[in-house]
Amino acid sequence: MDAAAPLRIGRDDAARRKTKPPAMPKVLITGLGFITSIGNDAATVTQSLRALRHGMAVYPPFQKADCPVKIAAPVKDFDTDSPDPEDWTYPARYRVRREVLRSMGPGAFYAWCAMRQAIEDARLAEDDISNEHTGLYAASGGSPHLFGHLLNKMHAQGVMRCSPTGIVAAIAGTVNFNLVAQFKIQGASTGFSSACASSSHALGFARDEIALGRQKRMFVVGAEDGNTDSILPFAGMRALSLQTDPAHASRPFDAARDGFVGTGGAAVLVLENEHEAARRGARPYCEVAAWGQASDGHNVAISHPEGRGLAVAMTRALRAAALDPADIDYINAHATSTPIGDLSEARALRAVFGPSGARPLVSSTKALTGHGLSLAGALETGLCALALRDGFVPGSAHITQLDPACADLNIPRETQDKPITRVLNNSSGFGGANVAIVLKKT
Amino acid sequence: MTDSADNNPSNNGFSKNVDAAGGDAADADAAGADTADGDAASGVTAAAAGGPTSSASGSTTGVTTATASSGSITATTGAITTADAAPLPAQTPEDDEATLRESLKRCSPVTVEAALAFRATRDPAFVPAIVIGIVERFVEPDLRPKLKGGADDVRLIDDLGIDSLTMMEIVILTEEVLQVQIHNDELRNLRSIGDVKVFIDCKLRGVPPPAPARFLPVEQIAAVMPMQPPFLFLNEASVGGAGAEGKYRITGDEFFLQGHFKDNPVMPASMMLEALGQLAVLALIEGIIPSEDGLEVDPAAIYFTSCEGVRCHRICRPGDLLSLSVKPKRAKMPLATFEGQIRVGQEKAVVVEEITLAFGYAGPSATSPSAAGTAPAEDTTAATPASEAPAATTPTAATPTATESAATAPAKG
Repeated sequence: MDAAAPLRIGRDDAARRKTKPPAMPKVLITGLGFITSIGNDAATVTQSLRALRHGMAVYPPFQKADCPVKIAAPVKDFDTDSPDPEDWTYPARYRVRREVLRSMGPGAFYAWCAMRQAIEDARLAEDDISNEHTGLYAASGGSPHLFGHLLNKMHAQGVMRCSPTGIVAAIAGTVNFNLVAQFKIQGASTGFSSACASSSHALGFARDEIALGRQKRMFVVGAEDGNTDSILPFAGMRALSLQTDPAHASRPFDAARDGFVGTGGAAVLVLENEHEAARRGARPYCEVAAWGQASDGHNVAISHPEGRGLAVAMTRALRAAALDPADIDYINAHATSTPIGDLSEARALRAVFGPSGARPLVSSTKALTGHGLSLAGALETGLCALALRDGFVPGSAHITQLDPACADLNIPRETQDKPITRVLNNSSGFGGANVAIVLKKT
Repeated sequence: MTDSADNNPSNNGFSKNVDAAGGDAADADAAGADTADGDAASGVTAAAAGGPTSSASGSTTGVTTATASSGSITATTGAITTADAAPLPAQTPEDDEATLRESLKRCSPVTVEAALAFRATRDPAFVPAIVIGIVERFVEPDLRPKLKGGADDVRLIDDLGIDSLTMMEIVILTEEVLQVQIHNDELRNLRSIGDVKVFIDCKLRGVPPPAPARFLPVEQIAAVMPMQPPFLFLNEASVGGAGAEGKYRITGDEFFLQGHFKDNPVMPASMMLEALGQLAVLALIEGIIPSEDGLEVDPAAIYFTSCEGVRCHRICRPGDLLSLSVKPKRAKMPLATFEGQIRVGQEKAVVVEEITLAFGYAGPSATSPSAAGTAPAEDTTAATPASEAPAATTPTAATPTATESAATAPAKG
């Protein structure tokens, strides 16, 4: 983490430097899993990024007279609307026993499916997954829908009628509870709760677990239900787009952007230290080189107008990776398509990259995926890993008229075939929590 | 999405909350939206988690195990149900049937028909079919055939794979369908389908169910038994009025397996009889034979005297889980005779027609068994008492009795 680069060197620090600590192992991403609005596997997601195919739709549950929000970016091929998981329909390859499913909300189930993909992608054997050197960090907002169902049932029918698995299916730790139990994880595990920065925090701390030698392998999971009860409560704070055209609803950096489009799903990253990856003959996507975080200290829900915390997070991440701003080829922006948030991030980018004259490509893949809240950081890191491996830069879709306040940013409107080597991924959450992650091609 | 269905109070037995229910649900929605104004979805759940988590875990600990108390049917058992207390006026019989069918939608048609017939007639004869049908619905499909044909011996945990969470799902659905409340205390020790049937039958006939079997984990067994490791062959046991059941997993580390046989470890038949004898000793210590004058059996005064009709059906090896059971056949101070059986899974391993122990009572007026000093050595199962009272020396003697069972709620939360 950024602590490796002291801001001020005193006498004690100088003395300590004489004994050189052992080199930290590199941390590599060796497996990916996706259940998203733009595809339920890495190949489909890559095609969507290249073709700028978005996942937005006129979402049937929103089509009510009293609901001004009409568009969402639902996960495809899954129907998880019922509070009873035994009613769900989903692809046959994820067939699962009732006793596994009963403690899951939609987000946890998406995570379970993405986990299966990531394990397959990384070619991990059972022994590789269930041992004390392998942990799991997850991020999710829990399942508001199931929590609502549970509380309604409790009030209507009495406390003894609540499902015994209601709590573990509903509260914010549901993804880690379920995956740790079902995949028999024995190493470090916990959940992260910094709203839309959650899974970036999970990734950063998972990277540190490996770099510090505490774990050899970590699963990083971001997941959200992405349904009425997880998305619509954001309408009250006027954070959601009221567009009715799916192709125009999410348009980060556009002058007419009017809010984000909610989505759900899951992304799973497999992180391993370089020795473990080499031992297994794994094919890494990229290295998680460093990360940085900082807080705005400003407002419970509104970004700092100058993007102060995000700028500090990016600076720390670059310093921890020993990179200059000019070394970064591409930035996957947090930009969710809200008027205030995108502007704040543009200012943070200007503050960090402007003075050196560096003009990295900047795009927001949320124009295609929608905003996945706790899912966002892990998902976008996964998208960056695909871009690094395959050599392309995802375009920033749906910009009809670029916001003049972002005119100095180097924003590609189309996906470019272009080998890239160093990528920065930004995430910002409520309370002004900001995380920046540096990925390097291996 | 399906909220409207959720808000519909589906059980008409809870009228006292019904008026408030609609309002509560609406309030809950509003609260969710308000919270989200200020923070993310994670904020909503985090804020709400404290109350429901603690209350739910507290409440689910209170509910356990399957089946129905039929207090509402006979009105003689004292269990007052909410159905008796106040029916919901707004519900029509058609609503009732629709709700019931929805609740039982994953049960067999036979179960649904039995439930509808029960609702119409309140005839207790339908209850066993309902309960078995509900249990079946929660059992994985590949295990369901075990429930066919009576299935009294089928154990809820070992044979049907029902864990404590599934057991609570069964309880909740049973309560809803039969419109009864099931009390934790009366159900804690139900371990087999037979137990369940007996429990229901007693409730319906308005007689108190048999005293629940008492479950003893290995620590408690070691604390009361004269035999001690490495000569204790019970990992767990439960002792009820009708008999005792125990389990022993052959580890392969048993000292006698080194020589029995060379390169071929087989549990000696004599040791299997010893294990059954130990279970009978435990049953005596736990008071399975009603004593005169409230005297307690002296653990240090129990000795083997004889056994009859021993038949071994199966070789038992390391890794096998022995399921032992003994039932008292007759007892007259100072002798108590049991019948016994050992199974491995569904396979019969050992049957003993009679195992007879001599025993004495503790205390100043206690008598010693006349056979005590002359315990016959005709059989290797002779059980020797420990040289000192183990209860005082076993550090785990004070271990709480709560253990994982079908009736135990998860403690985490």
